[in-house]
Amino acid sequence: MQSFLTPDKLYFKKGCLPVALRELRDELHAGRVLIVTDEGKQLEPALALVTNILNELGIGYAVNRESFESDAVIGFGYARALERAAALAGERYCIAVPVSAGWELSVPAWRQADMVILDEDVCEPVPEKRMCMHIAQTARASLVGANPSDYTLSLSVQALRILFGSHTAASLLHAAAMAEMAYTAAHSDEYPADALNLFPDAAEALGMTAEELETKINCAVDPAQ
Amino acid sequence: MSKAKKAAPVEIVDSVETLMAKFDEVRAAQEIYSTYTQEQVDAIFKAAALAANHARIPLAKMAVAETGMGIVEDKVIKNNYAAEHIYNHYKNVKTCGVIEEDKEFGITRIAEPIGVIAAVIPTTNPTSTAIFKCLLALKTRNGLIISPHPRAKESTIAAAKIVLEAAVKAGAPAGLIGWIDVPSLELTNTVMKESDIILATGGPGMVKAAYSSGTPALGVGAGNASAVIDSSADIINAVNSIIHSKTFDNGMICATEQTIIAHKDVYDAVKDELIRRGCYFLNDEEADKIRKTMLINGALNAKIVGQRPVTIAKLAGFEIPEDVKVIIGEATSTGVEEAFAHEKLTTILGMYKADSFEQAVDMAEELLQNAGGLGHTASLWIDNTKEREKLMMFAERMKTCRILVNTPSSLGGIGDLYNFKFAPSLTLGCGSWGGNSVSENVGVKHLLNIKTVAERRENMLWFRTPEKVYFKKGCLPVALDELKTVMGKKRAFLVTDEFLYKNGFTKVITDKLNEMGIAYTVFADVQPDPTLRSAQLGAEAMRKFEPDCIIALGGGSAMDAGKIMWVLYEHPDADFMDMAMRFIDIRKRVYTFPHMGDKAYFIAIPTSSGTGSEVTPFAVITDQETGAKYPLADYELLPDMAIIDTDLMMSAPKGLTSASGIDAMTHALEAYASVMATDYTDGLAIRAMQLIFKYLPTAYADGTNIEAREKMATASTMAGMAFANAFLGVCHSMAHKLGAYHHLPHGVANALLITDVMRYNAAEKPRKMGTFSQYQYPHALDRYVECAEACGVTGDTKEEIFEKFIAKLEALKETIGIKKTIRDYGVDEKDFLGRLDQMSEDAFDDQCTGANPRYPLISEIKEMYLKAYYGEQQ
Repeated sequence: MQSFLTPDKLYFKKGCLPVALRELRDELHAGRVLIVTDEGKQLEPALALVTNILNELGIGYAVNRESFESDAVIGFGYARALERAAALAGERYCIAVPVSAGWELSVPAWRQADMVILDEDVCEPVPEKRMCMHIAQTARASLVGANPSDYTLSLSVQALRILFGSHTAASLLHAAAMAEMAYTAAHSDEYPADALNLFPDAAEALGMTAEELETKINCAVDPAQ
Repeated sequence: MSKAKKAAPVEIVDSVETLMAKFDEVRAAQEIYSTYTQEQVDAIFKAAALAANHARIPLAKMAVAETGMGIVEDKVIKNNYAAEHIYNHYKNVKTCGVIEEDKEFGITRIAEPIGVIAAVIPTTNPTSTAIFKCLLALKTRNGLIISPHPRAKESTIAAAKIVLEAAVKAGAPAGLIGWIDVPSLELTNTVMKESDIILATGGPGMVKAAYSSGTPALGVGAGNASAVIDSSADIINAVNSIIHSKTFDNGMICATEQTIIAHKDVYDAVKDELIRRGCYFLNDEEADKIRKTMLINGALNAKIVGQRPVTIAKLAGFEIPEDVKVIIGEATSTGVEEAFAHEKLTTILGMYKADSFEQAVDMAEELLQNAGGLGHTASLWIDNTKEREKLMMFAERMKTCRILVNTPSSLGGIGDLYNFKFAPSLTLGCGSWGGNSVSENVGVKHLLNIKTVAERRENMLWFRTPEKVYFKKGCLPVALDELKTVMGKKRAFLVTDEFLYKNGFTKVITDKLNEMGIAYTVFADVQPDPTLRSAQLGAEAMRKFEPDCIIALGGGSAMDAGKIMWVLYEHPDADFMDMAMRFIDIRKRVYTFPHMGDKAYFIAIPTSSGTGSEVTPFAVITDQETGAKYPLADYELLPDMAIIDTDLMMSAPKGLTSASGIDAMTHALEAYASVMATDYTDGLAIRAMQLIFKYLPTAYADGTNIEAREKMATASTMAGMAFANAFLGVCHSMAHKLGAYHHLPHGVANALLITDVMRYNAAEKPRKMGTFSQYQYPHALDRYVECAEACGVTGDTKEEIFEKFIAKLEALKETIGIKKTIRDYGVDEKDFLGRLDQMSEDAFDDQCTGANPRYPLISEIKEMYLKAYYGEQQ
């Protein structure tokens, strides 16, 4: 048996963070929220977007106070913060707001969060080359594993289609997110199967040979080639 | 050089001509001032406030000397207040240029001055109101021309001069503030007509003239505040506060108490305390004398305004001690003919006795209605901790914009002295009840034009799928394992149709449930196009059985019926009319779908490859009585788990394979062209198309081909995921109605319409395009070309690729036995044409229409139906 496991909700588009967080009040009826974030000053302006909306919604919150009893946990930051939030959440509703999408892969965000919010206003700008490298590597890795399928492949291939086509910073961000989501689902070992390799299928879906795809991916990973 | 050319400053404004010249001067100064920065403006505002504050005593003396009204010491407080509290309240308020920036939502607010303000200043507060209005104008980069009251013009002009001189010294353009030196009705009317906005403080006549001038006006009306004293009130506090308030500047502030309405239980105590503190109760004879002096032909006698009691008594023809603070007349009538019911603007109070709190409120209401003061101020003395209900009742009943509790109303109403969130102001809005456009204390925000710059933002989008999707031939029992091992479920309710049940499709499930020791029951009465009745029967069975898990097995009908039963089981009172209401934005709909999943976990298991219902938030149910179909759409309806096991699909007959296969193709095509398509849904839709082109012919020709069946199952679920998030389009709108009207299988109806709809959508110049922030220009053709290229179609131009793609789809349809036209399926021509108009209108109103890239006219839908009926060769 194979599985395709994704977060219940993925919200995206520039400026979506405050809109998405309204669900805390309107759907989850949450009164208190624990925010887990990386220490340090550089996230503060972005974090203010979260705390402002929580204030507006009348939801109490604490930042990085693990003992804080809450209805939901928001992981806000880099993979480390998202991971810690997912671990702390337990039965509580878990929201992941990655700021480093396109830079580093946050498996816990994709695997454990009930809601993932991808807001271009919050995500750190990543240099294009770095982002393309990340997408190419993640997409390639997402094609081989215990659990890749046409479902994950559709996301991996779409990420590569964006990567190889004309793209914007925003479309690259979503390409990265799709590759990450595909990678996480393709490496779910809940029901381990023999490792599958969908690389040739991906090449076919993109209308190219496996060699051509390999070259193009390598080129994105290391443009010097 | 330009300075030399400038007209000489206007010295005296005493005619329309000189007033118009003054206007030019003020306008020219304001134009320069409008370019000042916040820092410059704040420096000027501060300097002007300081100067006015310095002059508080001379100005107060001047006002009393000139008008013969009021008390110097109290006017000092008013001048001080107008300078200090106004400055303090607004010193950090942004009034120039960008005052607010919300980058996340792309909203910027920009404050612009209005231009030249006409300021009408009353005789009751000639200097403090002048200071107040000049400071507001300076803070908001407006110019100002004052129309003083003839009886107070010297002191008003003196106040304005002091503010202007200080402002100019601090850098403001000369001539920014002007005034009429010799006031007349004509000049007041001219200043109101020629200005850009009017700030009118004065009696009802002046306010009415302002509103009638044709210039936007901020005016205030007459006050007539009643002080209701409840039996729970602190009497000593109440009485002494009222005396303090009433005697302030001899009662000339418009928010001052005019009557006391005391509860009978405390009436005598109130009266005793009033007397003890120096108030004088009139006997009947004196009261009548006062009545006659107070109102002359129904209008307030100007001679008593702002006077001490001893002076008023003398005017009325009797003597009272020199040190009387307030004259009080006891009255019973709240009618217009009772002088004590009116606004007095002096040291006279009326007093009423109420049998109950309710009666007191009635009387306060009658006084407002009969004797004036609607919209202004009301006052209540009460135990505000214990008597919240009475307090709120009073607040609800009083048609006044200020409702003051345990507060001297004259000083309470102007704000920031006895309460600290009222804007400090000497111009108090009275709302529509008082004929005003504002219902709060007038401040800087009323003297600015606020521009809002709204940058285009895209709607938040989403990608939602069931949390768990399991697949692979034979996976069903493995996937169900979780019910026991992970979730600890105890009772399962299986929804399916009779055919599947009789042919043993449920056995693999029931065997597994038995093995896990999970109790179950089977509901196998689902019909094609499931009815509300059967869903209700199912829900009733559920309520008896109380499952913690629902398993829906079958095609779209069984899965849809299962979803509806789930709703009815969890929310027996749910109203389908409300749930099925059309919406523009699924996240903004009026009806909030009830929360699902509190009672049962929902698992969907498809037995055909097409509907995608196992991964969609949609369900359609038919009302057996009316034939009406209720399409429900909400992510609450999304199954928790989908299990796609090809074993269940191997025996699907050719007709079903072809109809449901092409249904999945239209799902993918419409989701890709939808205005709500996203990168996430695009990937799924394209992969689904690729798989369907490649495997549907094989699955149709050879149903035993496992690979083809498996790929079709995957394609169908993926297309379902795509349209679960991007939604569909007008092809589905039309197919829904074609199916309902002429009983064509849903997949076949779609197949007959899809290519015509694609041609229609691909137009580069559509009559109307879809409305959605993300959808920027008509690009359906480009989108179809992307699909075509991903499916291996090549060509030199977009048009060529598109046509070849259409041909590829037509070829696919032919391969899997789909006929060419609606007519070919035996739909009677007369019947078809007879009901075509209604069918077209119904299709237009279908929920799927909204996501179509081209917004269809009903006539265009009709044309497409006709094309699909007759084919190209009509």
